[in-house]
Amino acid sequence: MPPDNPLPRATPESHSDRLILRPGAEPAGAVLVTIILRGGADGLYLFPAFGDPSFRALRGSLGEIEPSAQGMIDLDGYFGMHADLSRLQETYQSGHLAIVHGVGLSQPILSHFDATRAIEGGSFEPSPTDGWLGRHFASPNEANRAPLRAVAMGSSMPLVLQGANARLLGDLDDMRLEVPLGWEPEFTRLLARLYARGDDLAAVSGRGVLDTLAALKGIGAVPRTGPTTARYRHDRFGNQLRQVAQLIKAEVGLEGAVISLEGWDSHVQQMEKLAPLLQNFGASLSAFIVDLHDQLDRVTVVVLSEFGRRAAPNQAGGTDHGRAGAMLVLGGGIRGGQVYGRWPGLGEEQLDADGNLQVTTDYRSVLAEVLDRRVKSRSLGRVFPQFEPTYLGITG
Amino acid sequence: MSLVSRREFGHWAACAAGALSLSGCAPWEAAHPERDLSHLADQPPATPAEWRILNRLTFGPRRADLARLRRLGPDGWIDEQLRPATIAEADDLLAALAELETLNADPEEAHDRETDWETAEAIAPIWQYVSKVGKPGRIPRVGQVRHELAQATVLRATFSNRALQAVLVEFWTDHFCINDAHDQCRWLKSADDRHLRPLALGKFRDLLSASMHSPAMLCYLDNFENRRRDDATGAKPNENYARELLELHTLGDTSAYTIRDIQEVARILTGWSVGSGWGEPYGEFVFRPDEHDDGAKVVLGQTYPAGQGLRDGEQLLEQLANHPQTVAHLVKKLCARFVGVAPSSLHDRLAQTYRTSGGEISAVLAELFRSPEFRDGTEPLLKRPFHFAVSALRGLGANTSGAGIVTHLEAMGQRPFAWARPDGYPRDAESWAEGFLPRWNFALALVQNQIAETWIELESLDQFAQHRTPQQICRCLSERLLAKPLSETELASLARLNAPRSPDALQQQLALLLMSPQFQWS
Repeated sequence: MPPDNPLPRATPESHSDRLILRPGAEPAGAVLVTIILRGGADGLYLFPAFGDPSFRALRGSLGEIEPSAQGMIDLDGYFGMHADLSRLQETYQSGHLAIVHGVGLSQPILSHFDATRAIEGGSFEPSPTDGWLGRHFASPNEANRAPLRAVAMGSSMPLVLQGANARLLGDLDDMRLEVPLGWEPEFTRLLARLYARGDDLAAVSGRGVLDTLAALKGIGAVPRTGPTTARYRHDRFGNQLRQVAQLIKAEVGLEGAVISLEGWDSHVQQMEKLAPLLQNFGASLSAFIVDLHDQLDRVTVVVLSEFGRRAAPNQAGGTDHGRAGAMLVLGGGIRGGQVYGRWPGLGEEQLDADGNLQVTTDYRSVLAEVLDRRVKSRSLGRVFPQFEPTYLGITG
Repeated sequence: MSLVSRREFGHWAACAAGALSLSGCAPWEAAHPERDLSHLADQPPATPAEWRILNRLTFGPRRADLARLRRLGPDGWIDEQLRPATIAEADDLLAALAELETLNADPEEAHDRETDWETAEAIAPIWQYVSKVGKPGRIPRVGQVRHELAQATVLRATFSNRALQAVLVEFWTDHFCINDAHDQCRWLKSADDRHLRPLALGKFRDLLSASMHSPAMLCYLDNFENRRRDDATGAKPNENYARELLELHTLGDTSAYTIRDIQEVARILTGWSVGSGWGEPYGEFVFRPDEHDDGAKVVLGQTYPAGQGLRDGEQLLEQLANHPQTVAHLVKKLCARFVGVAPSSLHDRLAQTYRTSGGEISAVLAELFRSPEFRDGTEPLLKRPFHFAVSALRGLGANTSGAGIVTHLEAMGQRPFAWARPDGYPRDAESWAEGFLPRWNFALALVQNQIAETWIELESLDQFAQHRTPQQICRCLSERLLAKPLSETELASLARLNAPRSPDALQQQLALLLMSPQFQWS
C-alpha cells in the first residue's frame, strides 16, 4: 500500500526557534522514551505469526486475516503487522522500527500487578522500591544537572522511574502556577521558602516541582508542532508524545521520559476493542518519529507491556493473560526493519502447559542493549542486578 | 482581588447552574455555622492526638468534628463513627444530594439518561415539558450519571456527619475498583456505589457478595461474557474476573493459588451476567443456567459438587470470605490505610478479631483504632489528592456543590472512580508526591472563590482578622489547618504579607498554608 506518512525531507528549523542549549545539560547518549502498554498487549495480535503452521487453527476468529492491505501488512513472509498499525509500516521500512517477538518475563507471572512490578522493577523482588529506569537515573550525570533530566508524563509516578530524582509532568500547556499577578513575586518566593528546608518527601518533591516550573519557562518559544506530516492523534497519548518531542527539541536536558498507554487487557471482543487503540497508538508513534526526523540519532523509543496473552482466544472473543509478547524499539541508530528474537512456535508441544507462547528473550536483554549501546548507561550492573543480558544486535 | 459577596456569588451561581430550586437558593448555598470563619479561634487547636484521629478517620477535621470529639471523648467519638446508622445525616447534605437527579436512578433510567442526550439536545424545548423525571428546565447531558456520582462522593466526604463511613467507602471503592468510564459502567457504577455504601462498616462477606453480584463489576471485569467452554471450538471461560476476585478482592498473595484455581473459579462464575433488557431485567444481576458450567469443580482443595448452579457462587463466597489469606490481605490493607507500616503482631490481633466477629469490619477497626500502633504511631501518610482537596474544603468551612471540585480532582489525578486499572488508586507516597502543581492551583483557586459552585466566607474571615496582629492571624490559621504548624521563622515571613495590611493578604496566607508541605501529610 502507498506509504500514507512519508518521512519528509529535513527542513531545519531556524536557530532562533530553539532554546539555547543550557550549559550543563548534556545527555550522555540517546534520549530514552519508554512506553508501557498497560494491561498486557497481545503481541501475536499486533504482529501475527501467520507463517506458523498452527497460527490459523489456534487463533480462531482472531487469526482470520490475510497478508493483504486490508487485513494485515506482510513484513517478511512469516510475520505481519496488524492493518490498524499501518502508519508504522513506513517507520519499519525506513529502518526506524525493530520488533522483538517471543519476549517477556523469564518466570511465569500472569498477574497484572505482579508482572507490572517485575517489568518496571526490573527484577523479581516481591516489593521493589525502585524501578530499572530509576536506578539508571539515580547515578548523576555530571554533565547534566537539568531538573528535567527524567520525566514521567501523567499524574502519578510509575514504579519504573521511582528511585531517581524524576519529575511528573501533566499537560505542558497547564504547567504553570496560577498566582494572581498582584501577588507576585512575593508569593512564589514565600512558597519556595516553605519548601526550602524540609527533607520529607513532600518538601523534596515540592522543590522538584518549583524547579520544573522554572525550567519550563521559555518552553513556549519552541514550536509546539513539528512538520505537518507529524500527525499526532489529539488524545492523551498523542499529546504526551508530542510534548516529549517538544521537550527534546527544546534541549532542556531531557534524557528519559515514560508514557503509559492504558487499555490492552482484551479479555472480550478483542477485534472491536483493540481497533481504535491500535490505530491511535500507531498513528501517534509514527508521528513522533516523523516529528523528530532530523534528530532521531539522539532518540530511542522502547515499547513494552507486562505480558503477552494466551495464544488461543476464549469464549468471549478475547484472550486471557499469557506469557511472551512483543517489544518495539524505534529511533535512529538501530537496525530496524526486522523482527528479532527466536520464534517459540505455536505448536501444541511448543506452547507451555497452559497454552501460552514461551518466552525466548528476557525483556531485560532488549532494555540492557538499548541502555548500554544507545543511552550509554554506566550503571547497568545496578539497573539489572544478577542478570546477564544477551544482546540481539538491534543497536547495530 | 476583591471579595465575592454572597449575593454576587449566588447570582453568578444561578447563571452558571442554569436552574435553582424554587426558593432561588440552592441547598448548598444555605447559611451554616461551619462556614462562618469569624469564630475560627474560639476553640483551642487540636492536640496531636486529636489531629491523628481526625486526620485519619475523616477527610480532615471540621471545627464541629473537633468539638464533638471533645464532647464525647476519643473513644466515644470513634465508637459513634463506627455505627454510622445511628448518626443523623446533615440536612444540608441531604438537600444537596437531592439536587442530583440521577443519583438514585435505576439502571434503566440511568442508561436512558446517558444515551438520550443527543436527541435531548435537539429537542430541548420539548424536553423541558416531557422530561422523564418530571423536572422542567434540565437537559440530560453526556456523562451526567458518572459526574453526579463523583459530585455526590465529594459532597459526602465533605459534609457527611458519618465521616468515617465516607473514608471506608473510599477504601472499598479502591478495593473493589471499577473504572466508571468503562462501557456500561458509565451508568452502572452508580448502583454499585449505592449497594456498597451501607455495607462499608459491616461484614466483609456481605460486601464481597454485593460486589460479586454487582452488574458494574461483572461488566468491568468482563464476567458478563463468561460462558462455559465451547465444545466445538474448545474456547474456554473468560478468566478476567476470577483472577482479580482472588488476587485483588480476597486472597491477595498470588502464591496462595494457581492458574488451575483461577480457571475453576472462572467456571463457577460462568453464567453470572447482567440483564440485557430482552426477557431479563435491564442492568440487574442475572444468572443464566444455560451458560453455566454445572460440572464438579475444585478450588484450593475444596470440592464443589456438580449440579449446584448458582449455589456454586454461594459456596465460593463463604470459602473466600473466611479464608485466612483473605483475612491477612484485608487487615494488612486496613493497617496501611490508617497506620502505615504495621508490625505483624497488630496484623495478627486484627485477624483474630476478624475471626471472632465473623468478619465484622467495624469490630476490626475498633481494635485497630484502640491499638497503641494507631494511637501512638508517628508515621506520616501523604494525603492523596482527594483527601487533600476535601481536607482543604473542610478546614475552611467551604461550601460547594462538588461539581467544580471534580474538575480539579481530575487535574490532580484522582477523579473519583477514574483509575484505569482494577487495583484502585495507589496509596504510596512515591506515586503522588511529584504531582503537587495541580494541588497548588486548587488551593489558589479555592481561596479566591474561583472554583465553580464553591466558596468560602471570606468576609467572616476578615472579621476574624480584625483586632488581631498579623502574627496572631498566621499562628492561629497555622494551628487550625496544620497538624504540624509552621516554624516561627516561617510564620514571621508569612505575617509580613499583612504589614502593611493588604486586602488579599489573608487569601495569600490561606493559600500558602494549604500549599505547604505540612498540609500534604495526614
